[in-house]
Amino acid sequence: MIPEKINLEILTPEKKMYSGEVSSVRIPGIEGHFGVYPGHTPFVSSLRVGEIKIEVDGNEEILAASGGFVEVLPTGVSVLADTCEGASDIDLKRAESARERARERLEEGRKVWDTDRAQIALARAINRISVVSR
Amino acid sequence: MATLRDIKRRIVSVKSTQQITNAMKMVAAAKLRRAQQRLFNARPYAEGLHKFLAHVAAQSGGPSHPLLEVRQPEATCYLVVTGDRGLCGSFNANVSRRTQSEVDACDGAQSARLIIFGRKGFEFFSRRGYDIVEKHINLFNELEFAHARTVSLSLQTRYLAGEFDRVYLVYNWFKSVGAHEVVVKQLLPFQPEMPESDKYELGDFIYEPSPKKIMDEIIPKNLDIQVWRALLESYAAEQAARMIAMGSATDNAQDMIHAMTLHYNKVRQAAITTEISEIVAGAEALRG
Repeated sequence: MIPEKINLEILTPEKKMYSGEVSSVRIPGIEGHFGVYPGHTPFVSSLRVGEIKIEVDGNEEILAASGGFVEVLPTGVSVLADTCEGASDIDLKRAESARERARERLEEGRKVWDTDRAQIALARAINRISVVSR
Repeated sequence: MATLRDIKRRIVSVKSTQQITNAMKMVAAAKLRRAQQRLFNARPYAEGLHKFLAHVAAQSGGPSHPLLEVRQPEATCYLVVTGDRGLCGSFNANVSRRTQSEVDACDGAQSARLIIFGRKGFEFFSRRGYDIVEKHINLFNELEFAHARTVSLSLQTRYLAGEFDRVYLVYNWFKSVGAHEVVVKQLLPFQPEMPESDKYELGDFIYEPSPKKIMDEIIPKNLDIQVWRALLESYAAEQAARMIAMGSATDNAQDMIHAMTLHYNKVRQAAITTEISEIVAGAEALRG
């Protein structure tokens, strides 16, 4: 029998971000977003920058994640994220200035800056901003 | 015999030392609380990553990553985590001595190089003429993940360049406030442990992208985290050790003050008694 809820754990190097029973969770996998409901098949994936959407009994919570791994086991889902913040933890000003900086760097181009890093930084900043502005 | 004034002076001196040790104890206690909080926040991730790595390693089959490959050990590197400051009991000496005995034990055919965190360890090993390739001093006050990452990166570069074939991490593990323990752990080549009991069938996993790609991403990250965790463990253990050392120093000072005060009173009493008997004797002689 498939249980109604799954156990979700979100860990970051800074702290334990989330731990508890959830109805479902949507995760930004490297090859696309995927939803995990109870009874999901065992699954391992890298994460990319994006939103983690947690649903508990109809209530939604959205977190901004940037990179890491996720492991879906029959016993639960564990997300090992590089960073993960809720809207209240995000410093909007900082994210906005990070976005501007990354854009400037991308415009100046590869000669001056490491554009791959700038690209990722931009994605992170945009992700944070979009989580806050929800 | 010590005069009254000498004793008084000593009592004052011990009292002022006691004030200092007591203040250090308070400071260490405050720092310990913060360090402990950080450590406890970081532990679940480190353990989670370790477990995850074991699962993936079991799946990907065989050592495919250069950091997993076992080479003939010729040179060994020790990553030694000590503190920057003393006055914390045997905290620094324990790590340094343990490393020294490890290094001396495998000496001869193999050479050993050291990467050292903390001034105390650096002083210990540079005085004894060990081969120190890197030292990181004064970073514990503003400990950041970036520090661990820098060291971990340079470690990987050196390792892949063949500067050494094995890397051990030596640090104080924060067992509890009252106890810390020196731990020696092999970092490279990385040996993933197999998951303890297989509650689920391995092999039924879906991987995105491939297990190998995930391995390539996770192994360097795990190294960063291991170094980071060792720094946090060591820092918390250092503060705990200092708090306890300074606490017992304060208690000892209290005992000394007590004993000296007793002595002071006795000497004073004796002086008074002598004086009285002299006066009485003088009065007797006059009456005579």
